[in-house]
Amino acid sequence: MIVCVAVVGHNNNPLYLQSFVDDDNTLKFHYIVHCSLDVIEEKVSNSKRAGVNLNETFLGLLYPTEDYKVFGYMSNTKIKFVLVTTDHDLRDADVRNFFRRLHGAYVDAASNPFHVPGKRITSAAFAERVSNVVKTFGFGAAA
Amino acid sequence: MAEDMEELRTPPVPLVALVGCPEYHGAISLYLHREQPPLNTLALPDFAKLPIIGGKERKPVDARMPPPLGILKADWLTKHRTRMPAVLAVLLDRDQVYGDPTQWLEVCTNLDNIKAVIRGRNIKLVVAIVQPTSQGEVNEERLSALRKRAEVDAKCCILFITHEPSELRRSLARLGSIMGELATTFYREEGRRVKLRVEKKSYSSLELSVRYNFKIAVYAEFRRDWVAALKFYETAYSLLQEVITSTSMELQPVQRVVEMKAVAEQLHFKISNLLLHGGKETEAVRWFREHASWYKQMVGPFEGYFLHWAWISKQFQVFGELLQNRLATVAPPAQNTAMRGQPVVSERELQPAYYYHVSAIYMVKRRRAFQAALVAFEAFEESNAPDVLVGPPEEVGPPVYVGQAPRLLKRGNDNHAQSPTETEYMRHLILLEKNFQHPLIAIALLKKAHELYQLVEATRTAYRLLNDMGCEYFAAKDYVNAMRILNSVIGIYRQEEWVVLLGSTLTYLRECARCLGLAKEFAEYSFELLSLPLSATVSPGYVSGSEVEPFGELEKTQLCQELVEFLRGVRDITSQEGKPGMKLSSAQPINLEINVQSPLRMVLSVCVAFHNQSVRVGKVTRLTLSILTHLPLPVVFDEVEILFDQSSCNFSTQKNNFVEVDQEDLGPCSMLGLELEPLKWKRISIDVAPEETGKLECLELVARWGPHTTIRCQVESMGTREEIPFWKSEPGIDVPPSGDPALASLGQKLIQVEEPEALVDISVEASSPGLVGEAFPVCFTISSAGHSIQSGDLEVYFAPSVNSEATLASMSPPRGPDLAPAELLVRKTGENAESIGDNYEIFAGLVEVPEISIGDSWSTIIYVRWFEPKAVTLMTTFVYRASEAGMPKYQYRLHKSKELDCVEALAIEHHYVAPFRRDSLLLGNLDANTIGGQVPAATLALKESSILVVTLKNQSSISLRLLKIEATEEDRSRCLLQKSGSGPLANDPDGEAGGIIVAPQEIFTQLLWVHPLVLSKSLLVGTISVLWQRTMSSDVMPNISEVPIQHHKDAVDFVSNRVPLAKIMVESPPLVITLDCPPHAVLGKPFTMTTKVQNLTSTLLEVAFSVVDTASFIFSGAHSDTVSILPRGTHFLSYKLVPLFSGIQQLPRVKINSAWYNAAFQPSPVSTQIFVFPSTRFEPNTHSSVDEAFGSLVIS
Repeated sequence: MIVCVAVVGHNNNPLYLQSFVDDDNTLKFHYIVHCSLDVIEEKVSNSKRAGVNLNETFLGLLYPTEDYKVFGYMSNTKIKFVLVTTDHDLRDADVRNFFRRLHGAYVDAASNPFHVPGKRITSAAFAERVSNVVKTFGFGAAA
Repeated sequence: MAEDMEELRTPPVPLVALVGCPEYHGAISLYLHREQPPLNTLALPDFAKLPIIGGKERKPVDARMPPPLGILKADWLTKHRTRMPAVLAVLLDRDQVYGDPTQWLEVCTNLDNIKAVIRGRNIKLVVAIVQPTSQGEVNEERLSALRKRAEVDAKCCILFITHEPSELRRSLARLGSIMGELATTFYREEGRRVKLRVEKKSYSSLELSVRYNFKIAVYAEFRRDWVAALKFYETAYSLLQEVITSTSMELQPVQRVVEMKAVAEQLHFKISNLLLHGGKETEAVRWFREHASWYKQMVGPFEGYFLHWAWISKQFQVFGELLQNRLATVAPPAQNTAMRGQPVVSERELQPAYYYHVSAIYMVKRRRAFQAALVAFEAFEESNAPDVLVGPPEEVGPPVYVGQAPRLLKRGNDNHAQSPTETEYMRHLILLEKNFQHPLIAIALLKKAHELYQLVEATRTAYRLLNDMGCEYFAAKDYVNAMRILNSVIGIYRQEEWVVLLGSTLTYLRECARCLGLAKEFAEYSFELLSLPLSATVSPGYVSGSEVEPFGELEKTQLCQELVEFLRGVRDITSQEGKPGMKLSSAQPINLEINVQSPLRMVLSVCVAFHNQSVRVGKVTRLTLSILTHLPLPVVFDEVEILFDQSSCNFSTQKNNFVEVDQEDLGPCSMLGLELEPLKWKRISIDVAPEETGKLECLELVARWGPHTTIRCQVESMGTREEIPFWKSEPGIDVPPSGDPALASLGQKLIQVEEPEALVDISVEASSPGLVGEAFPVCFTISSAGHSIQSGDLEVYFAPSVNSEATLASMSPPRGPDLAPAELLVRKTGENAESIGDNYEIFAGLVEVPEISIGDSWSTIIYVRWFEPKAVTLMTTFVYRASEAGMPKYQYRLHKSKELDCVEALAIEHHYVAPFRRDSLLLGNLDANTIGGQVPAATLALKESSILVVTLKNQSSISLRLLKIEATEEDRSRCLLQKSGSGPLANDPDGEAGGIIVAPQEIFTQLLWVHPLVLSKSLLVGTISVLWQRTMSSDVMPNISEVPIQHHKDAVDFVSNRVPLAKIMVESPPLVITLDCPPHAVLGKPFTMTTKVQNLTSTLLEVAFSVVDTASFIFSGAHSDTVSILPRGTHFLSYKLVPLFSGIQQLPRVKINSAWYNAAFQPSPVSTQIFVFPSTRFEPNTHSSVDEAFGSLVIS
């Protein structure tokens, strides 16, 4: 089950963070997403050093926490997408597809002429689209 | 790591025992220990100690047996590592074996005893006959009897030579190898035996399966068969999971849950250790992940929650340590070496820091669960019930099975009866846990993880650990450390704009400040927390739980009210328990500073803009302030002050009123205080009248609440307002102050305060351009236009001119670049004014200006004298004091500048010319002619009068009056100078009509005679001085009449230019040739032309001559000849000529050649021309000039 989805700007500032659990303790997701930025940086610098996968946006499993698994994705404009899930056995293809759809949603939200680039995303349409993407997670590959 | 894990950490080493001949035990033990693989030795000094290696009789396993009371025996492994040998070596002295029957009998008895002891254990036996040397008789019969008795084959019965070093080594090797071999056999057989039991399934209990598989694995480890060991440990582990899943954990008693987890821990520890030592780090990590996630759900009953979290925490910690130890010796493994289908291991999971961190998180959970359990315990349990599990060793014995509680020995002999009850057990554990320092352990773990994360530069994770550490310090009530650590964390959250994380940290910091009674910090943290752009509730701390209240909209409002009341001094804030509450007083005031970079800028940010860019002293200007707060509630300040760098301008709501108040919603504004609405700019305007010149800057706004709270907020210019450096990505946070767009974009907090306007005009007039050398008058006129000047000073000076270029040729000597191109002069006054010479003196730079009443004017003239033709800028500063009605006496200052151009007036040139038709042979000229090809102009004949032509060209655009040209000889005895004729120049320069006017670009020529008297190579002739004056007449330059200065006769100066004449070379000529000819001729009338050749030498000179014929004349005389001229003599060459044509005609030219000097002379064609009149009616006596003669001819 997806418990949290986050979009982080290129200055590592949160642009959007939504948790999908009933528990109103979203603070831990803030911590998890913030710490995952370290892993994203490591991965990006490692792949740069190795000179491979420069065009790969999907970063795979970033790290597990004691309860969750954290996956990452970075667009070529350095916008990071982070997924926190409780599932232990996820197919890479599903996660990739999820991120692709999330990225698409972000691009549409950022293309809104009323959106100021770099500002937190407050669009309700974006939130709705994200929750749709989350709901259909796992079926997305087939859809 | 827990001590009980120590024996699990290292792989078990086979154990052998020695008995008999104790003197050799040390050497043998040492040798066996160094064997590869090593063997541990249990040395029994004599045969009486044998029973300690014997065990109890083994019973066959029966399916009807009740399930065992525990899974793993607590001391089984210890027993096999330290007490249960695989091989027993009996050392028998040679004398005993081959000795007399009594000794032999003793040997036999001992062997029988040994056999009895080891029979049930399958311990291997080795018999060694100890003898000093290899020599000696062997009683074969006795030896075979010994083997038979001991029931060993021949290879297990060896000789042990002690006193021959090489033999001793060989004996030791033999003993070692046979014992190693037998030990392996022993452990293999034991393993096989247990395995057989497992395969037969002759029992029904799963627990026994776990135990047997564990035993097989341990035996395999004894054999160093790691693969088999790992396999059986894994089997045991999965069987244990079956045991656990067969019952519901929640329904199990705590003791049972604890036991099963202890066994699982032990098995897992072994597996991890084997995997890690086998170099399978990722495998180990994967195994651990499975282990942790499987057992995490096995929480057990509620009262034992804290035990569960303690266990989980320990799993992570122990695995972290194992991994760290492993990684200390080998390089970290490459990531994702996973086989296909296996879950990916992330890089974090291969870092020990991760495990320490998670361990710390569970440690916190353990603390929280324990706190809950303690509450329940204290509510339901008797407070003074004794802990029966704490007592002397004779009452409380160690547990028989791994993970079980200590036994109460007094309660009977049965293991079941000796177990404590569930209540006793829980009481024991809770009392133990009470003394456990959870926060300190958690902090230690977090510190460890923090250090490791810092090594891999995981900054944010490291900060998060610091944050967790701070929260733990808070939980441990160590507020000072908590505050110190949390303060170091908030920076990154501010920087990266993680508002929720910052909010969470700030709630802790605020609580710390409250508990420590730090009022200022409390206010700062509260303000920052309140002004955060939090869009949702900040839930309680993630790690530390609910020590801090959640922070939502409701709390915001409450907190804001509480804070304002506290700052007003009407409310106390409860501090730590047992300490008095925080209260503001004059001894403990709060003074908050908010600068541009402060995070508190969200609380109060002030922009100011002056309406003007500059203001005169004493005049009123308007200042508009825009004030914004992000606090959630409307704020009313009791008093507001606005401070300037000129303290006289300071504004206070207690004393002054706002001129204009404008808020977006036009809310009420108290007259004394200031009310601010959240997120709405409030604009107020005040009037300011500066009293000092220079600048006036608005510095800060001081807002007061009550008597003890001051907030000083640095102000910004509205036009150059910087964005709030925080929360840039938050929409709608940084709204620029709207209002007047001009003010918003250009308004500054700084204004120039200018001096009051001077009501005086100053004019500088001059008829540019000036001429080099003259005293050029510049007229300064000061006229009062409103101020009555009481005393003033006029300062005049040169400013360095930008376009100063000396392109014009200058006759003045070149001056250094640092010297001014001109000087300022004033006309001398008093008696000296009439004296001859320079009428000017150097200007001191300052002129005192007398009193000038309103409407009057005063003027003065200052002269500029240029040294070179360069433009200069004349600067004037007029400082005066004047009183204006109603204004204090003030010093005014006025500046004026004028650029003055300058040109050279006259270009004076001169050159020397020989007299008409009289030429001297100058050898210097000849030499130069032959050498350089140019005749030096300045070689003159001795005692011959040469002509000096001086030309003056007016270079300026002004007509000049030339008054006098004078030649001054350098030395009358060497060279004479004489002016040719009286000329048009008057002798008296002061005469009204004296001199001649030279118009611009006109050339004036003056002739002079030069008569050198001595021979010289370089003779100074003298100087020419030219006296001139610029013309004053208005007809020359009509516009000059507009300049009043030109009407001053005195103002126009005479200038004398002195030019040294070029040096000449004086030679004595050997020959002088003079052409003598009438000035004109008449057509057909003969006349005589004589060429006179004078020999000035004292020798005879031979001169050849020839005449170039012309068609205009017929003449008589020799055409060519050579004549000798006597010393000092003169030869005349006379020709009679009859002109044939009228008009200007060329005379026949006589060419003279001196062979002696190798010089030839031919007069120039110009000098040998003559005018031939056509008729004789021309009367030279009646006509003074040729032109007149022509005129008369025409008339006639």
